[in-house]
Order: sequence, then structure tokens, then C-alpha cells
Amino acid sequence: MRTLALVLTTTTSLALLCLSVGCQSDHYIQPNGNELVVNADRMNFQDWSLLADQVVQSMMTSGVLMRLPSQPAGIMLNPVINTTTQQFDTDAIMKKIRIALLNSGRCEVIMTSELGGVPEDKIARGAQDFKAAQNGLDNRLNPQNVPDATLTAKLIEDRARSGSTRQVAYVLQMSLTNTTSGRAIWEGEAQVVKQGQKSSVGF
Amino acid sequence: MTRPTLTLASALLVASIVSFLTSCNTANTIRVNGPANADGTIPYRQIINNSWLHSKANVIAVREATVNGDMMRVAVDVYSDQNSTKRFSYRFDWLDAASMPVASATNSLTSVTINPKETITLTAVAPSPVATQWRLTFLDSNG
Repeated sequence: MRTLALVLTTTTSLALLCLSVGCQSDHYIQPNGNELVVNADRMNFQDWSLLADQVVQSMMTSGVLMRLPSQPAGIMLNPVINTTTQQFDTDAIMKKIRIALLNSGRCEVIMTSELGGVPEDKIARGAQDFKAAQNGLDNRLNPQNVPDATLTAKLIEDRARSGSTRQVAYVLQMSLTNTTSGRAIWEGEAQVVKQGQKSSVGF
Repeated sequence: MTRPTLTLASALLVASIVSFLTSCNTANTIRVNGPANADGTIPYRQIINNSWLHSKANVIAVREATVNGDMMRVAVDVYSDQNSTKRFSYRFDWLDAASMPVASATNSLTSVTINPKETITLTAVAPSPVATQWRLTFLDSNG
């Protein structure tokens, strides 16, 4: 009788363990789910969304986009200043912010301006030059290529350690400048702080 | 069959059950359940599949507002009935007037810490003016 109980108990235990561990083969996961890898010592994919979401919410809540002189307002974004110890393409964050701003319907990103150096979309600029020339205009003086507002962004990092616990904080600072007045009309800051001792999975 | 062997097997069973239950991280969901009341509060419905999670992330009030002219903003008050600091994760999903999902580039699961008997407010702004409905999902963070 005891042997039977032991066999049943052990079999049930192993079956439950197998179910809880599940299949460990390579698989897709939900990008906004809770199975993403979290590293306490570096910026992860989900941190980009968390930082972008915070600044976009702040900007939307302030109502500043609604008060820009033309609707939708033309904006341009400066390159992000990345002072963290991690080298990565900061477009990962800025693209999310751009998408959110465009989806708000309150602003549009100027792709054909030379104010930042070279146009972001050179083909579109060439087409715009052509159309302006056809109408006898100088596209360099096209007011459509002058932004109503510009965005600047800086990403900074702070690290701390206590015993075996490591902590890293990423801070995204952004400013929106009205190009007519030259003054900052909105500033926002987003933070992500992580603690851990080694790589783990999930939030 | 010795008693220590049976004790060990029983302990293994208990550990396996705990492991199995922990892995079943069922979600709790909140959604609006009708138009705003006269006092401005929003009626809501909590779909509770995980009572443990509910005990540390219990919605007690919902408010809606409009920002930036035409974008919905939501604030949800969440209360923890626990006696120690807990963690949970949440995510807002947005829907249009036809209840079709509205994509958001910044939609992500956010992890928060809540102190014993504390009430915190979770906020979200719609990703676009077409997003007129929302759904809030809670997931456990094993803490």
C-alpha cells in the first residue's frame, strides 16, 4: 500500500513539474508580455517602450501639442545624446516617440528639411526641389521645411551597488522648443530603475 | 517503505503543486461597464481569475478625462490589501469605437511595487484620438 502511495506521489510530482517547466525549445513570445528577458545591468527591449511611453504621456497630458501655432505642427527631432555606458541605436526609443506623436494627429515630422544637415528623406527632398522648380520657386526658402517645434533628448545612466545587489537607472530627458520664440515649451523626464544580481526572466 | 521516504515524496508533491500553481499566471482584467455616473465616476467590471493577484491589485476607482483636445486619458486607483510590499504588472490595451484594437508603439507591460494597504494610481493616455475604449490587464510578478 505504501509502495503504491509512493509511486503515485512521485509520478504526480514529476507530471506537475513537467507541466510547470513546460517545453523549453525556442519559441516566439509576446513583445509586450511578461516573458521578456530582464537584465539588471543593461537596457532591454522593453525599457525603450517604458521610457517612450512616459514622455509621450507627459507631453500629451500637458496639452502643449494642441497649442502649437499650426495644426498639425511640423516638428524635427535632434539626435539623442546617449551618455550611457551602452552603445545602441537610439532610434529604438525615438521611433516609438515619433510614432506616438504622429498618431496623436497634432504634429507631423518634417523629412525634407536641410536644417539638421542632410534631409532625412533625400528622395522626398529631391522631389520637393523638382516641384518647386516647376513652379519657379526656390525650395531652400520653403516655409514647409521649417519646423514649428524641435525635440531634443538625452539618455543618462546611474549605477549603484549594495552587496551583491546591482541597480541601474536609465533616465530619458526631453525638451520641446518653440522655434518662433526659441523657448522650451515642454520638458519631460522618464525613468526606468532595475535591480538584480543576475539575468532573469520576466517582470 | 520508510517514513522518511514518504515524507520526502510528500514534500516533493507539495513543491510540485506550488511550482505548478505559480506557473499558471492567470490575468485579471478590468474594463468599463457603461457610461459615466452622474458624479463623474466610471462603472467598471473586474474579471478576476487570480484571487491572489486581486488581493494586491484591487481596482477601487476609475476616472476618464480628455487631454490634448481629443485623446482619452484614464486613471485607475489600485489598492493592496496585503500586509507586505508586493509587485504586479499591468498593461493598458486600447480599442476604437468598433471595439477593434488600436496599435500603440509604446504599449508595454509595466511592473510596479505597492506597499501594504497602499492605494496607487495607474494612468494611461490613448495612443490616438480613435481609441475610445480601453482594457486593463493585471499579471502577477511573483512578489
